[in-house]
Amino acid sequence: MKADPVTLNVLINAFHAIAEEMGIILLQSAHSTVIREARDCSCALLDAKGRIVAEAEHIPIQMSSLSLPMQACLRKYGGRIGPNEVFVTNDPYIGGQHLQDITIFTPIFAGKALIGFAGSIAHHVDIGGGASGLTLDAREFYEEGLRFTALKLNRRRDFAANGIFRDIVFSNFRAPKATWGDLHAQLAANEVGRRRILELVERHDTETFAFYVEEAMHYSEKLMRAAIARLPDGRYTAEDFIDDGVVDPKPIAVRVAVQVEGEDLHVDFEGSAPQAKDFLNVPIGSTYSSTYSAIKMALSSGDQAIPANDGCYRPISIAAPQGSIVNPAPPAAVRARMCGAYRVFDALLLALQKAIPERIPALGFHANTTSGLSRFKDGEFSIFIEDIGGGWGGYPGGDGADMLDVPLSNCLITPSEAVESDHPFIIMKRYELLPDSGGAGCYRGGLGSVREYEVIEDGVEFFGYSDRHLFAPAGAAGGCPGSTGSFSILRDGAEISLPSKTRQPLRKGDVVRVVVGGGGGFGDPRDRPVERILDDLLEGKISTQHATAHYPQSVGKLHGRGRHGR
Amino acid sequence: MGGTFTDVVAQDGDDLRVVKGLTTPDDQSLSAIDTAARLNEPFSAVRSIIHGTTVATNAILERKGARLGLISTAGFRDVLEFQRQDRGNIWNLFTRKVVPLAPRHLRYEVYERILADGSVHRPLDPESVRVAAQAMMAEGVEAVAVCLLNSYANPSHEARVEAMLAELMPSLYVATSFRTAPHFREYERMSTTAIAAYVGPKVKGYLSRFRGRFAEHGFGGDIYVMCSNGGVLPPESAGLHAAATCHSGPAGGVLATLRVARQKSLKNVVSFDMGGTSTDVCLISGGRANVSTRLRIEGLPITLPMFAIETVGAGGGSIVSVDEGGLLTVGPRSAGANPGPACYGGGGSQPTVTDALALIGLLRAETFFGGRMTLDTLAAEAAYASLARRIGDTPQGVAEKTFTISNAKLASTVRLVSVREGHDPRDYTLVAYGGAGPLHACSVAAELSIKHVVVPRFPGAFSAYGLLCADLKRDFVRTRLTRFSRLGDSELRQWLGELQAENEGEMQAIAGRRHPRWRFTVDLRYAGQASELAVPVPRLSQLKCDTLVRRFHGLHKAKFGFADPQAEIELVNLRLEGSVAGTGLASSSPAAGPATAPRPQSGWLALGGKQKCDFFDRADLPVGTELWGPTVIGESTATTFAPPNWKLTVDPYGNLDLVRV
Repeated sequence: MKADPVTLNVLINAFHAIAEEMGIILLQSAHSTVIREARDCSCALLDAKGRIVAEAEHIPIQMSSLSLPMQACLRKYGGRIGPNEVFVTNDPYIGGQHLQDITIFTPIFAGKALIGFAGSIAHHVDIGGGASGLTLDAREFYEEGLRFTALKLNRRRDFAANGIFRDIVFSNFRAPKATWGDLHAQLAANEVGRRRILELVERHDTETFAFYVEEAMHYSEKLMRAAIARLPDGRYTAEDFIDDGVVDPKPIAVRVAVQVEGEDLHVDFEGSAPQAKDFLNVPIGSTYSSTYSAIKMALSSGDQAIPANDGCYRPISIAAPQGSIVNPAPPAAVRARMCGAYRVFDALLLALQKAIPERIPALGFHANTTSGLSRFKDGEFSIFIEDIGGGWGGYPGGDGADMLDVPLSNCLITPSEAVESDHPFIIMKRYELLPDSGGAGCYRGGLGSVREYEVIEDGVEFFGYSDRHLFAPAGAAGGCPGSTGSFSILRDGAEISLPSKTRQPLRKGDVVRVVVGGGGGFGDPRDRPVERILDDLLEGKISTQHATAHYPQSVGKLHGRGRHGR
Repeated sequence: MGGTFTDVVAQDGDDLRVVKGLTTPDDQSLSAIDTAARLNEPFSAVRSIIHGTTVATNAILERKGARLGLISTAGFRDVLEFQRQDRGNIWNLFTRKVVPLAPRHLRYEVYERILADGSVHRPLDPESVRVAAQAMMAEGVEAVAVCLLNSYANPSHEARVEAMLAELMPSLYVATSFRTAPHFREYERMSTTAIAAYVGPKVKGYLSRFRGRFAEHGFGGDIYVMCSNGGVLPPESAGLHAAATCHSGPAGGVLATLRVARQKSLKNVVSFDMGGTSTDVCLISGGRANVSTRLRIEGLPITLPMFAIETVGAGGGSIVSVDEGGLLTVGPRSAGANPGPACYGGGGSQPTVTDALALIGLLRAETFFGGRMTLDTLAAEAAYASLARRIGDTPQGVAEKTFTISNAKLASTVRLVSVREGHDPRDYTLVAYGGAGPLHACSVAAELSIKHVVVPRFPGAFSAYGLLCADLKRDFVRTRLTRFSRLGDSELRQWLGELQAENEGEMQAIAGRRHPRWRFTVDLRYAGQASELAVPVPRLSQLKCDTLVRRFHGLHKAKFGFADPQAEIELVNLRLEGSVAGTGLASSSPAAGPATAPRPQSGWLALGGKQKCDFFDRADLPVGTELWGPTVIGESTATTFAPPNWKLTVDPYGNLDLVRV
């Protein structure tokens, strides 16, 4: 068969549209706040070999590496699965993310032939384990929740009212009703993917379908190779550090060497710290997806994106030493993997900055800030959890975005009105931009923010983890660094500072303050046009002191321009 | 009013007349009156004028609205700028956020707090309102959006702020969230309110200018303004609810489609409006157009109910290219109106979809725009030459591929809008209009296994025609987050009755002497879900919660593939639509065709090899004419293509009925 450019175009778009539709269905039918409001979930289509064909563009960290757990499921069962069965997995040690991210794969049969899978992955608020939401003192993943290595379940039998899977969920998870609704939403999304693929096969027949799946991958591979070929050959190294561990309060290094040879790119994490004793370990699936995402974003920002599928990643090889922070051995705990995943991401950006300094932005506040409040009352848990982004790095041609979710994620902030109506023990106090938090530069870093929750009942706990509370994101091309974040409790007129990975009992009337930092600046601050500096002053995004300290060209022109909004 | 052209459709009994003029972007009322004057009828004889304006949409597009302030609850003025912290293209590190309509230094905070249950946690501090008013006066703020947390549950603080501002700054245009969009989720509510205030003064001023201009010329009848929910409002109401006029342009086409559907007794129809830069598609099921409250305008959420029109960036001007991976792609870049496609001779040199149609032979120099515009086929060929060399094909070959790819792209949009609602596109009829719609419609339909296409009269001015079909309409909403199982029939009936009572006065003022018709809907969801499904309430007196619950499960099953009869159901919003049928104008309008038998010109198409094709002028086709594809029907503003195996009939209303055999 010879590839027809018209059919190729039509089918690439169709694959993508199906994955996107799956994503819409999952979001619209999910029950828990973390999925429906924050959108912490992703969907993909895979072929019969478990390779990614198309993805819904939701959460980069959950995407790109889905083929690892998929292929582990296929290996375990020798590729055998029935039409009414699904694979369910959340195992970090077969290529999954942390235990909270449960993946379901639904097989797609055209007649008797298995032609692919519809897969969805979603973050579930609680899957058992030592504590609700976040087990800070976990030393092994066993303490973080239940692990499903690669279950093969019957959709009718095991998900039914007395089914074994329903039983497991309802007897082990703290908020089983919402979780159960979310799992059904995942099944529904997969079902839509399955139906749509079958309609496609009806129009194009199985053989043509399989042929163009290969061609679509081949097409993305060509684009990725062309992008890599534009990088100068060479070896580029960089390092970045997680602030500190829970057990061992010392910085944890992630080191990377990027070797570019023509159209190929090799990434080696040799020299990275050994695996941590606490929950900061980055399972290999997360290391893969952070690496793929960093490279894809670095090479295509400002251009049209390359359709995400298996082909994109073929020119990239990755080596991560066994037993290191980026490829831990079981039973290492992994709940807060995002801290390290962002150091992988940033180390790659820093390395690529050396290859193409004119194309790579300054670092943003690339730290996943998860913040949660849980209450146990009348025999039921009420758990609120959300991810807060930060300021993005300035880039060639523009200021970093003020307050966006971090690049490996794309979660929505929860509306204050949804927080308060779902969790009546919380009152949102404040959600504001943080002036001066973006690094100065010709293109300044985006601003971070401060978000405050007041608890109006006793018996509530705060849990959270973040990073970049010690090391601010670096500027680039002469730009200044962004700023750090912090957790604290306001109690009786005092501010009690908390560590960046924390769990704290609260008292009625406490206010939890979560600060996320701004991004680094790009380019020499002295090159920033005065007009832009004055605009920032007028809008209260920078203070007069900040302007005076970083932008000498504005001195003497500031009179009467700086003002406070309130 | 369009960006380039102004269309006027005049109805006198069964007689319809269409005139086209050029739009004057600085003051659309000028081109409105100039174009209408070309009808050569005295304005004093005109009974009513229905006006579709893009003033609101353009104000947002070009960022030329009011100098806008915002009043929020203390601590939350940046919500407008945070948005929901998500981004469109997830792979782009050079992301720019949409700039908020009110800049940060014009966003003011007042001290107050209402909780989710409507209780007052902290009373409104009037002093903070005064301080904000003073600052707004000093800053020359022209309009303000007031959006306080949880005001959907208790609007008293917003109402108080509104009253204070009316006293302190009588000339300020004030939009409150509890009047504009009283539903939960503060960002979306704030965004909608900000849009309302931002476009308000401009729309209000424009409408009074419009009225004045027509009055000067002797017009003494009623004026109605088209809104995005498919209804019309008198100018005074439209000025108050200015956000409702955003994106009202495409609504006319949907209304006209509804009219055609009713005429032909079609229940399930897709409107397919293809123009120069984009294509608008809307699903009509069971005789009702799909409505959404989750749309965006230029990236800004607007939660007013609007026809759920899906726009895809594929039009006649879409540019065709080959990327690094060797893939032939159509769009998203467009040659737009300037320079336009290469064959228009306006200096365009990039190959576009229109150029492909010229190369295939579907557009012909002799009849293009009724012979009023030139068609440069050589320029089209030149535009395709280098592309053809790169992929080893002839210009005609690439043109044919372009036609196929753009049809597939359009088909996938139609597929998306239907399957997303749980419908099969095969059960639908495509109603095609816009300059390019009727050329692509049959090919798009074939791609979707759709067997029926209708091309109405005046496809190039169809949206304007739709204005004649509009009802007077206002939508009202009230959030009532409640477990549905705790609600009795009588309680729900009482709540809905209250909603009607609250808004009866406003609706009656709009309706004049006529009686408004009321339609209730409740937005339900499984407890915990983010998105609601709108469940129609049959009649208030017969309201049964059980029936609504059953209908909800059914709708959920249709849309998401599952229903959960055990799960708790939550009531989110009560909705009410008040309407008055017709503005007294549109009746059906059968066309009187010429009596002579049509005489085709014959020609060739380069489509699937060279094939012979008949070309007709639409004006020559009497009612009852039957033709077989391939055939091309030209008229002054559009061209219709019936491919092989399609049978074309001119129906009694003058529509072209195309059926795949």
